[in-house]
Amino acid sequence: MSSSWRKAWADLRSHRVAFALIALVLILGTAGMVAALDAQTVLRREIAASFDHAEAADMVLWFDGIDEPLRAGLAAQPGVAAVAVRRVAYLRIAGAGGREFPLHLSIVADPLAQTVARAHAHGPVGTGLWVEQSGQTLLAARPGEKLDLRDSAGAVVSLPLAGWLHDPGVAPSTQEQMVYAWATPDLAGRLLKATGPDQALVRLDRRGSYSETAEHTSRLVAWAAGQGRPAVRADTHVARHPHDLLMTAMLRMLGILSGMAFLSSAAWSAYMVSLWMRREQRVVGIMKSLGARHGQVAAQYLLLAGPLMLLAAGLAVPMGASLGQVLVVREAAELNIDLASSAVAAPWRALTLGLALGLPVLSVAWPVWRAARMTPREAMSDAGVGMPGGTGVHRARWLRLPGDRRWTLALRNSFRRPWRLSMMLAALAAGGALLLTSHSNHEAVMATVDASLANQAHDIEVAMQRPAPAEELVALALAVPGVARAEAWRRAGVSVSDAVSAGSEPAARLALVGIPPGSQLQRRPVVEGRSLRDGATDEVLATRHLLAAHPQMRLGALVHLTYRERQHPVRVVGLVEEIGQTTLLAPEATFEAVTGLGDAASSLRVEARDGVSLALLARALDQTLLDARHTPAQIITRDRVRDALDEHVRVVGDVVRTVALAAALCGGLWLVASAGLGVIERTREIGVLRALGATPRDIQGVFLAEAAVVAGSAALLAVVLSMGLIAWLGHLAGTQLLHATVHFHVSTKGLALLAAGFAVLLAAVAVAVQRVLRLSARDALARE
Amino acid sequence: MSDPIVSFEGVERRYPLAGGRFHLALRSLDLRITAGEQVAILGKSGSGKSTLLNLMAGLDRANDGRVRVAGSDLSALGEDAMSRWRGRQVGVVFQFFQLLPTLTAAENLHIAMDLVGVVPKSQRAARALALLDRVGVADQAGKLPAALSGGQQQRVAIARALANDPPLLLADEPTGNLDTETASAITGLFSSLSREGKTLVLVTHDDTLARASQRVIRLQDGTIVADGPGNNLT
Repeated sequence: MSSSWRKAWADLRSHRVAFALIALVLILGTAGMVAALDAQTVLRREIAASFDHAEAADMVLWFDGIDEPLRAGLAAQPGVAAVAVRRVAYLRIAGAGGREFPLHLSIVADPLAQTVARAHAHGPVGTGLWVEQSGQTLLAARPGEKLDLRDSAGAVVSLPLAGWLHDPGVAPSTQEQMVYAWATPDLAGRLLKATGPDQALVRLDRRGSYSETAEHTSRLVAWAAGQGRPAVRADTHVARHPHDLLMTAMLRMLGILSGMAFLSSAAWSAYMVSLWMRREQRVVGIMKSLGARHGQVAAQYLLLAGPLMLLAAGLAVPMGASLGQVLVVREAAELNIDLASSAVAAPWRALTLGLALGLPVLSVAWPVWRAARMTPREAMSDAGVGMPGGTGVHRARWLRLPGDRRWTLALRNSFRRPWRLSMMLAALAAGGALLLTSHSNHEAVMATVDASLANQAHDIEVAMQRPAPAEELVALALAVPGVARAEAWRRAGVSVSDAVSAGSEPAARLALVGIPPGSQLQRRPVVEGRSLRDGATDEVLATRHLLAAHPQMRLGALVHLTYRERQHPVRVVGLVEEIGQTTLLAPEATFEAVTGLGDAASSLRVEARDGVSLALLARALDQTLLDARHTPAQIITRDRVRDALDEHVRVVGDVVRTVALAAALCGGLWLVASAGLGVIERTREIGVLRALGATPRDIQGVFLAEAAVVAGSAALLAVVLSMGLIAWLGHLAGTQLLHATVHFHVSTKGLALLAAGFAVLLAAVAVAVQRVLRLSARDALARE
Repeated sequence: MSDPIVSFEGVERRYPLAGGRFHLALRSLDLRITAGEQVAILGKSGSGKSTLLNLMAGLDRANDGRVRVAGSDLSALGEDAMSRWRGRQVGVVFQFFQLLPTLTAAENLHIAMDLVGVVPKSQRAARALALLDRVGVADQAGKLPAALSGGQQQRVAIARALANDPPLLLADEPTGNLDTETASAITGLFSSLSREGKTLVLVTHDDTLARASQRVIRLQDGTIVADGPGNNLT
């Protein structure tokens, strides 16, 4: 063995713990980075491929009924690749434990041979009802077993489960709590009276932008109208997976987190190697005085660091790749996509390998090279590991605390390594700010939601599958124990165009809600303009959300509402704040003037008596209406609305909090490690303090004070930063999500968590510096 | 004869080596130093000089024997009690000065008083300045150690050792890192401290400093091989 290798081996043995730590940190950081990058690239590719393969519809056109000439006519239009027809019914299906779930039933000629929105068999093929495979967990049934469904009249009908289909174009059932199923018209006939198709799913030759597709939709609607077959509704779809945006955001977050972890691990390694090189400076001086050149000195140390980096990368890349595969499979199931391949393309692997090797090697090579460049005199005169002097110390001399100089010492020591301090402050402050912001915004948004729900007089809204006589619905509801008040409301999808473009193509579709005369359940305050007059035939209230989506619906605007072949002018007389609703509220007379639907009510609003369980009341209403042959399509309780909004806000908040935690963890680790390393760097200084009469507890106090300075500064910075973030995100949530005013709010819980984090950090630092308590004053003074 | 300020009786200090062996730094050493003496300890590297000084300062502990300094049996003191004792009874001066780099010259003295607490708070600032003036660097009080010369740093270190007015001053090669002229000035400073009644124990290779001492102890392989007046030094 050459002398170089012998020295490398001896160095490895003397610093085995430090090198093992460097390798471990690098392996974890690199593996995380590789896993995140692999997951990103594979999932991006597979989401797009899976969605393309599903051949989802670019638009859906509703008609009173679709026959073959109409389907063929639509399919023959320029730019149309395929047209499939279906009818959709919303029923109930009993799942595991007898719990009923909403069922989205597509009635198609052959569930296994669809040309648009294709689903493919996932497992053995039988006869009966086909269910989307993500519903397996909700139903807990096996092919061939009977499933209980409620027919349109509410009676229970048992149908065999033919098997599982996979439709990668839909969100997973578990997320939506909705079971997707397919049945042939014959089978559906056991559940519904009408089974003939009424929806045309149109796929275009070329998927363009949303506006291009919307334009195409208008052309097809116009063509159908020209054929005497007006569409009752037309929806243009966005050509991407329903959860694509959320997934992209999650992957980006994952990328950021892993990037932070990777950079931190590289920075940590650089720091540890710097420390090693500080210890070796005298040796460097000796080697140089013996005639060694820069390159030879650097090579001597890279002889140990190089193989260490290779070993770390060699272990980390396969580990990261395996972890990436696990992530991909898990997320693919979460997204309900087909995973054709989880392989990573060779150029991508080369890039990750380059990163996995490049950054750690650079981070380690830099301190080695810097030490190797020192002159023999500089190296020999260095006293070994110690805290730096220089500009950091010079600048810090202006910092002074009154009283005991220990605290001034601690304060100045905190600023001795400006770069390290900046890293710690940045990570801790970012973590703290994000944490406080996420809590504050969640509370502020939910406060807005609660305020809005407080203005909502009804506790339960029942959307009917088909309109029903208003008086009958109200009578049925009032007969249910626990119902204090019930009103039958109207609801219809209308198109709107402003006065200028009246008579041209419908510009937008939205919901028109008809309020019954003398309503006690319309208590939502008008925030601008005036309230509706009972009996008025041309007045509407717009929600702020609607105004944001359709600016032409401004206060005072005269717009034309189109319902099927009818068109009627109305004026926006006021604005109401109703979170998340793009609706126009109209007195029943206006609703009737627009739709001509007569007494048919499409929703039932119910106010519950105090103390009544809304979930139980909703079930009772459901049963009562089913018994009366009026099938509810959907029942939404006040709690459910709140929970749904809470869940959406919480999902975003959880991601932010994860980032916050990662950032705070990075900063915290830096702080704890920094305190631990400070003990090593300043061992002689500690020895001097001991020689001056400081007890071990005094020394620990100085280190704790230093940590408190850093953590306190970070907490202060976090609070300052979060003020801006809270205001900005609150504004975004108000304008983009809720369309209501979200008031500025600072979370007490968030502040308490910040304080708790501060305390945990100090405790961790106290543990990290325990070793100073064990070191004798002589050992401390003798340490280099 | 008055009670000795330093008393070593059969003191032995061993340091463990690899393979279960050990290095005997001090062998059954007996030593008495009377209050007010200025003692120089000489010897080659590895003779046990620094070990002897560390034991006197309570920075290290003997394996065998009894060490009494300034009226305390050091083997009976725990870590905290030893620190408190050291702060009050001993001032230590190091070869490389060992000033705290982030504190100014005056603050280096101030922190020594803050840690021990024997000097009333209201008097600490004035005492720091007075001691710096005593060692001739009052004009450097507000400067960081990095801005001071080696001689100035050593003067500040001596002033810091005096901050709590300890009866015993220990110095490990106090002139070892200084030029001849500065070393001479520091030697003079120690002599004047001795005249003021301080007990000084100096580990040194510096013949001038040793000659200026009343008593010179020569160590070899952990034992005292010579003990006599400084002016007899050959």
